Amino acid sequence: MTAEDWQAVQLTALLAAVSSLLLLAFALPFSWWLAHWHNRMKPIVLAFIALPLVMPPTVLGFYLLVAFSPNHPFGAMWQSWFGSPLTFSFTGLVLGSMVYSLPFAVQPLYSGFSQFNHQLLAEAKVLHISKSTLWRRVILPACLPAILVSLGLSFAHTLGEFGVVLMIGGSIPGETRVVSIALFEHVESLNFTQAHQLAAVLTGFSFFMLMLLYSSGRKRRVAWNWT
Amino acid sequence: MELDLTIVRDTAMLGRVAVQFKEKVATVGIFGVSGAGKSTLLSAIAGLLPSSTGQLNWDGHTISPATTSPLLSLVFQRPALFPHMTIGEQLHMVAARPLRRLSAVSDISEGCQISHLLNKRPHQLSGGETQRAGLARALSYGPSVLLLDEPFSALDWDTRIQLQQYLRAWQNKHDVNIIMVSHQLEDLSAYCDGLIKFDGFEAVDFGSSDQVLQRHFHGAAPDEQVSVIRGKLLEVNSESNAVALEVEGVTIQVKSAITHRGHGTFILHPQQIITDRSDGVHPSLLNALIGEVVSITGTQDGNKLVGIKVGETALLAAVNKLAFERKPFVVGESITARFGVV
Repeated sequence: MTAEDWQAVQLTALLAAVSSLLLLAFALPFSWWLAHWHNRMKPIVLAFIALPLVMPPTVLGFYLLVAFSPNHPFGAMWQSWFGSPLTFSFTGLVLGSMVYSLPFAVQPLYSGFSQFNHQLLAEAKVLHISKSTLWRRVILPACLPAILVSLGLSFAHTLGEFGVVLMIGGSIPGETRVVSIALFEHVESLNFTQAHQLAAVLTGFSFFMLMLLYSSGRKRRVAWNWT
Repeated sequence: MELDLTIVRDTAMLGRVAVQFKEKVATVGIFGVSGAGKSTLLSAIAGLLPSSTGQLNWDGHTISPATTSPLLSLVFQRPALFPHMTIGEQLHMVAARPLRRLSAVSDISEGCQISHLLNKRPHQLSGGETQRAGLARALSYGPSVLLLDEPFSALDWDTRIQLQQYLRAWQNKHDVNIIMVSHQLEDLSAYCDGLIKFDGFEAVDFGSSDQVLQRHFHGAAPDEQVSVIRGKLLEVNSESNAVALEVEGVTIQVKSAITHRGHGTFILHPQQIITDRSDGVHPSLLNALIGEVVSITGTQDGNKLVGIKVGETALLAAVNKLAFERKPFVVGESITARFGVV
C-alpha cells in the first residue's frame, strides 16, 4: 500500500474512534431519557433518529452540506466561534459521522435501557444509594452488553461511510480522504491492485469488529436483539 | 402512630388512609384481600409515588410521601438484588452510607441466615434466600422506620419463626418501628402490636392486633385458611421456638414467634395442627384439644381443610388428600387437634 493509502487507513480509524466515542457520550444520557420518556410525540422522535438507517447517504450528506455551509446560520455560527468552516474538514466529518451513525448508537442503548429492571431503581431509592453509585455499580454493569454493541456498531458503521463523506468532506489527503474515498478513486483510475488492498483492509477490519461483538455478546449471554 | 395519606399514582387518586393509634405501637401490620392496595400503600409511604400527599407521624419522626425519606427503608415482596454484585458487596455498599450503623454486616448476615451466601450472586439464590438477603440489605442501612412487604412469604415455618425472632430482637434493641404488609394473619398476629385492615385503598378497620382480629373473625368461621385461637400466653421458649398457650383450660405448645404475653387472639396456619380420631386418643395426651368437626372444605391441590370447634375456639386443620380418602372425616364427629411442636 502507498503512504497515502496508509494515511487514509489511519484517518478512517481515527474518525471512527473519535466519532463513536463522542456519540456514546451523547447517546448514553439521551437513550436513558428516551427510554423513560412517555409522550405522544415519542414515535416522531424515534422515527427521526432512525432516518439515517433508510435514507440514501447522499441525501443526508446534502442536508449536512447545506447546514455546514458558511451561508447557513449553523455553519456561520460555527465559523464565527471556531474560526474555520465545517465543510471539507475533519471536524465536519466527525459531526457528519455522528449524525449518520446515530441510530446505530442509540437503538442498542434504548433497547437495553427499556429492558432494564426498573425495580432496581426503586430499590436504590429506598436504600438511599447515591446516583453516581447507582450508575457505576448497577446501571452500567447491567447495560454493558448494550453499551459494547452501541460502541462497536457505530465504530464499524463509520468505517464504511462513503456518501456522506463524499458530500461534506471531499477528498483532502490527511484531512478528509478516508479509505472508502481512496478506494473509489483507485477504481476510477483503474488501480485495481490498490483498490483490492484497501477493500481487503476494510472487509477484514469490519469482519473482525463484528466477530468481536458477537463473541462478547455470547460470553454475556446477550441476544442480538438490538433493533 | 398517626398516618394520614392520600395515595396518588401519577394524576389518579387511588384512596385516602387515615388511622391513628392512641396506644404506643412499635409494629403495625396491614392485611386485606389481594388487590386491596396494601403494597401500593407501602410504596406511597416510601415516597415512590411522589404525587401522594399527607404524612406519617411516629415516635417524633415525620415522614412525607413527596420524597424518599432518609429515615426509612422498604423491603419489597420479591426484592430485586443488584445482579452484578455479590450479596456481601450489596450489604457493604448500603452499609457504607448508613442512616445509623445499628449492627455490623456480619451480625445482620448471621441473624438473617445468609452468612453462607455473601459470596454468591443473586441468580444463584432461591426465593427464600433472596427474601432474606433483601431484608439483610435493608437492615444494613439502619432505618428508623422499616417497611416490609410480605417479608416471610417464601420461607418455611422454622426459618420464618427464627427470622421473626431475630427481627424482633433487632427491632427492640435499636428502637425501630416496622410497618408490615402480609396476607398471612399468622405472621401479623404473632408479630404486630397494631393492625390495619385494608380494602379498596382504604383502612376499613384499625386498632390493637387483638381487637382487630376479634372483629375480623367475629361470628364467622375462619375464612382465610387460618386457625383462630383465643387464649393466654403462659411461657415463651426461645430455644425451641415454642410458646405455651392456655386454651379452653388446656395448656398447649405451639411453634410461633409470639411474645406479647397475656390474653389474646392467636392465629395458626392449618399445617401447624395435626388431627387425630378422638376415640383413638389417650386422654392423657399432652398438647391436644378435643373438638367437633364443623366444616370440611377442599383446597386447590385436592387436600382438605377440616374446621374444628373447641368451645369458643375455631380451628382449621389441613388434612392430606390421601389420608382423608382413606378415612374421611364427617361433620359432627369428635376429633383431636394436636399441636406437634416440641
